[in-house]
Amino acid sequence: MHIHRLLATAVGILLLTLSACGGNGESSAQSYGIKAGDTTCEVEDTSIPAGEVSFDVENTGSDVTEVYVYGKEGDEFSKIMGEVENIGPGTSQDFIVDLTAGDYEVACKPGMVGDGIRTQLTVTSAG
Amino acid sequence: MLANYLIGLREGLEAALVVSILVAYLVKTGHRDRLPAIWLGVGSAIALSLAFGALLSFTSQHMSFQAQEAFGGVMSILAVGLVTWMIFWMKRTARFLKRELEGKLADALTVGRAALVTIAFVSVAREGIETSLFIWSAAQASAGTSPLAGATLGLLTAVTLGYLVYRSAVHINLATFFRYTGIGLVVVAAGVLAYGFHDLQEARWIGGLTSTVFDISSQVPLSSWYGTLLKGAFNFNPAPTYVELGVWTTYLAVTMTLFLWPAKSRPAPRPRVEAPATN
Repeated sequence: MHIHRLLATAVGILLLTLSACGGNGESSAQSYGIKAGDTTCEVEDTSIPAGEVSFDVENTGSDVTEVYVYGKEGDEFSKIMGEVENIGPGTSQDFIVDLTAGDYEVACKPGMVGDGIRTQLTVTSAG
Repeated sequence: MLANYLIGLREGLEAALVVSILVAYLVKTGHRDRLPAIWLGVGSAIALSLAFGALLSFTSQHMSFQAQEAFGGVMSILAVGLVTWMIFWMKRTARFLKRELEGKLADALTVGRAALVTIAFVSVAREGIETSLFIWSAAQASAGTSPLAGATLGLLTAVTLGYLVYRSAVHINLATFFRYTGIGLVVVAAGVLAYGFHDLQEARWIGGLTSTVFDISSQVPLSSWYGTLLKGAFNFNPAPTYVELGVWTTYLAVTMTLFLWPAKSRPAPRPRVEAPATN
């Protein structure tokens, strides 16, 4: 029974994650709001400079929602750059993504299903 | 309110089920003295998750999306390993049960305290960070107290359902208990494993995230009560990827077969055909 080793592994993973998170913390990321409704997905600014970007998502709808930022993979916007799940109605959550210049799509997914309501996002190289 | 309630229920249900079965197992086999180990595991997982969630919510600290998914994936697979081990450890107990009196179980079985703490800890911590982020965001909500009330009630409902499972489990006979909780846990663990692989796909450790086998999310929406229960207890995903479905099917087939396979009798020769349990 290597249960002690398992316990050590579990705690190890947790500490590792904690320290990893400390590493890229202290963000001075530019923050943009996203209002995610039942049928809408309003991104405060759809043309933003590259770098670390913080999206502050407010669920203005009546259903649970999640928001993704997709990058291009081939012809499709399917590469997840960042996401936040489980945003209850009336609550807000933020997430941070590191975006280089290019085209992206923001998807709000009311009910946490499907492809979501997509909004184009253009990231320009930071001057 | 309702949507927040359903999130709380979904996030808490699975951990509540695993922990309640573990508690029922200890109580039924006369290991009540080992219960503090369970509460230590559960308590430390909740405390750590809440603290970590608060750190992410209230400071500028953050966790990258990939790190979060990788954490969820690794913890899920670890949880499946532990729960699988627990299932077969229960099966071994059931084997002892056939030839020994219940009173002797205490000698026959030595369940390590560290094992109990770990299983309880991992079962709760697995979804802990995500749930605590959700709780903190509900607590900060501008829409008054209703999101927080909904979330809390949802979690309380999950705990209550777990308690009801425990209550009904302690009243059925041991052999039946082992069989049904074993079968139930195999199905739960299969769902956790699929979920874990989905997380690793999102973290881009494994490919194939976008190749889904089917999508029945409009027939079984996760925001419905039945979708919530299916997702909460069995990690039901209405749009599984090939990797998820493959892992789920394989685990379920192999583990269920091994679990239901008649136990070998090692020490003494035993009759070929056993009468069905009548007690």
